[in-house]
Amino acid sequence: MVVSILGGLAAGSAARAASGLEVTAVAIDDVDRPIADTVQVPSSAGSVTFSFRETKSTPTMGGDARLRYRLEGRDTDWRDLPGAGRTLLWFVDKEGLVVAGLDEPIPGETKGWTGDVETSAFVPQSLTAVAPEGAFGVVVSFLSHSGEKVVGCLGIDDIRLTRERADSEPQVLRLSPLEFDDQDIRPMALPTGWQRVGTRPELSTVRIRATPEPHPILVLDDDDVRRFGNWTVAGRVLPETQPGDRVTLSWTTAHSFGAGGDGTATYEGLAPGRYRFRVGAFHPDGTGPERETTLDLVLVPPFHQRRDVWAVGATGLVAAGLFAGRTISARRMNRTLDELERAHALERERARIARDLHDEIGAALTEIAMQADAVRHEVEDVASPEAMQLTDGICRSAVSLVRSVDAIVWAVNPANDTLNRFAAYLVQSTEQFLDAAGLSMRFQVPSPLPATPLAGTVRHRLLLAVREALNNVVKHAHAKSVTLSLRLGDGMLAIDIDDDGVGFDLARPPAAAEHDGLDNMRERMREIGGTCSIETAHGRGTRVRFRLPWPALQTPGAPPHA
Amino acid sequence: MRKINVALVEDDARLRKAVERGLAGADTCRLVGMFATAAEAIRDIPALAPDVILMDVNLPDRSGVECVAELAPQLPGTQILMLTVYQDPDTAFQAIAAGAHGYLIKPVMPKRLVEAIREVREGGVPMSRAIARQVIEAFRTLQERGIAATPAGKPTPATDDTLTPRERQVLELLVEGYSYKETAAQLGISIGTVGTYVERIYEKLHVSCRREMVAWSKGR
Repeated sequence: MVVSILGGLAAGSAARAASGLEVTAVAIDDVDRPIADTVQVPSSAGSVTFSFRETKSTPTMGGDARLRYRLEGRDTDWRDLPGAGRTLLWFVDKEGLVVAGLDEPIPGETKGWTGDVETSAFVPQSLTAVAPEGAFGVVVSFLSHSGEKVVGCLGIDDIRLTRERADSEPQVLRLSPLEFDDQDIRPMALPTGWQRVGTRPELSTVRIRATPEPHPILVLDDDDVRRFGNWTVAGRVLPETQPGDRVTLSWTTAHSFGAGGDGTATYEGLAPGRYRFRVGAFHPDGTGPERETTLDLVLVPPFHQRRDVWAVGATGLVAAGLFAGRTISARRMNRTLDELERAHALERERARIARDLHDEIGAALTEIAMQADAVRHEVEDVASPEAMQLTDGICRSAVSLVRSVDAIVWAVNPANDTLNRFAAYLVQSTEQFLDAAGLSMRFQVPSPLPATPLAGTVRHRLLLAVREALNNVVKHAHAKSVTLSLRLGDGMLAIDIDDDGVGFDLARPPAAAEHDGLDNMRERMREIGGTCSIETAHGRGTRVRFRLPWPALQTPGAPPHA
Repeated sequence: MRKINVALVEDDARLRKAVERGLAGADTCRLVGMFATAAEAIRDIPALAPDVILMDVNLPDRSGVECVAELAPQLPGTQILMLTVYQDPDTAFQAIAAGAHGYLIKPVMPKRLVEAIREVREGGVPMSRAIARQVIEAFRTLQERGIAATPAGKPTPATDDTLTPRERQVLELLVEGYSYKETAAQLGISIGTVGTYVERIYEKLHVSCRREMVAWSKGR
């Protein structure tokens, strides 16, 4: 895969600076590339990693932003950086020292999160632990912290502790609804029995939840990537807890956690095409984006696939533009990007038409083949040899047509655009063809093969060239056995077809063979930038060699072949 | 000899008709049920307990592969042959990993269909070279995972994920393009024995893949 990064074409550097956001690096297969540059990297793995950060906050947003990203062309929605709060259920001894306990993350976002903790749906949660040796009481904490850069919002309600002990009634301690000494419930009011701790205590607030009727709840409103808030019960609760007691903390929560500061996003297996990477500065509660920055990414197929791209016309401009380098204007590039997108739409449409044709025509042809076959059996004893031959012919043509439509559908399906899928199909169709012809076969095809990209047109031409060769063997060579070998290496994909047949004089190929496609094979290979050569002599069998130059195979890290 | 009971799952009415006509003329098998959807097949086939199921890969409601995954564990004595339209080695392999015993690429002439049904019933479990390639790769992956999960210093336990040397030989010859007959000659065994090895390989593959699927779904 060749990857080109076209930084800041539309947005412009001034607009980017104003956003307070910056894409700092793009790495292709873990190799960092400066984003201002246009990069072309032949790659078989094709992972793309974006690094980004918030350079400065803006007045409209008091604290740190929550960073989200999306890759247009791949993602359908914004994605969060991983972020989570935590719930602690700890057992402490008589001195108040922690003996043991649970520490559970509160990850991501709850269902029914509206962007405002006061109106979001709350979901029930619980933790259960058995009191260990030395336990005497319990401490409960909720933190907006699990790593350094967490931002988000957490609401906690309906908090209760249940202690179960053998031979006695469960004891329930309700920590909700919250109670206040002061009648005036402000965000910084302190509910009885609770304390604000954490590295920035004022992130722990009290807010009013609207349902079922307005009442105060504990909230952590964290817009600080470095510091966190923590609501903790004041002192230990459930005194005289004994080892062996089962303690359950249950509560309801609505929350949304992400992260800010900086982050990375990695994408793998991107198909050639146009993408736009967006980074958005959101409020910690997930609303927004308040501002964003973008970076355009174009994945252009490598040169042996590019003929395919050229074939659909407009996209050749993109390739040419990329070769020309950095001087290309933003407007022109945007135009070529649109054209590339249209070309891809065209490809998808082509694949759909091929599938529809296949399903309709394939089924009808199958029916014809089976009916012709039935007729043949029906009239076997009474029909003339000519009639039998004709019915046979109908049957064979129908079968062969189904196979041809099959091959077209296979060729236009972008899911098959890799070397390993090509090899699997090549082995299967060769096997089927030679089996039907009653020839024995040998395969020398390495396994496993890499999923190196191989465009539809290239695959199809290669397949047709190999079929042509196999057809010649079956029709003319009088061979008993055929060997198909496929090798990778030295910047080359090599496919050889060897038979043990009669061979022929290269200087004077038999008219039929010439007719049947020695030229055809050469032409098909020439079309994709490859070659076809033939070694043969009377009585010595024939070897057809197909060679396709493949620069990607020379890159370090290309898997060795067996 | 008792006729082989066959069930057909195929959504195209024309092809159902064609197969019905084709099997009607055969004296070795009998069509006991035809189904147009995966839902009908999953509901009704277990009660029929046919000897062989012919299963189309593309069904309107669910894929034939999923259908196999549902039916195969319920019908240990039934052999399933996939009917694939596309020459798609991946889908064929998925079906086999889910519990099918072979596949036929459409169009299949009635004569070949009847032959294939008889062969699979007589234990001549077919394995194409293309499938053998994928089977070997699947076992390699399973084994790599098995080794990775084993504490250092301990030998990998012999499990269903491991092929015996003989089974491996059979697979490797098939991958190289040998037919059953050639494989048998090469190893000095009968064709029937080759079929038995292939059957065991399939058995291990089914067990391993089912366990993989269970492990995977529990890990979610």
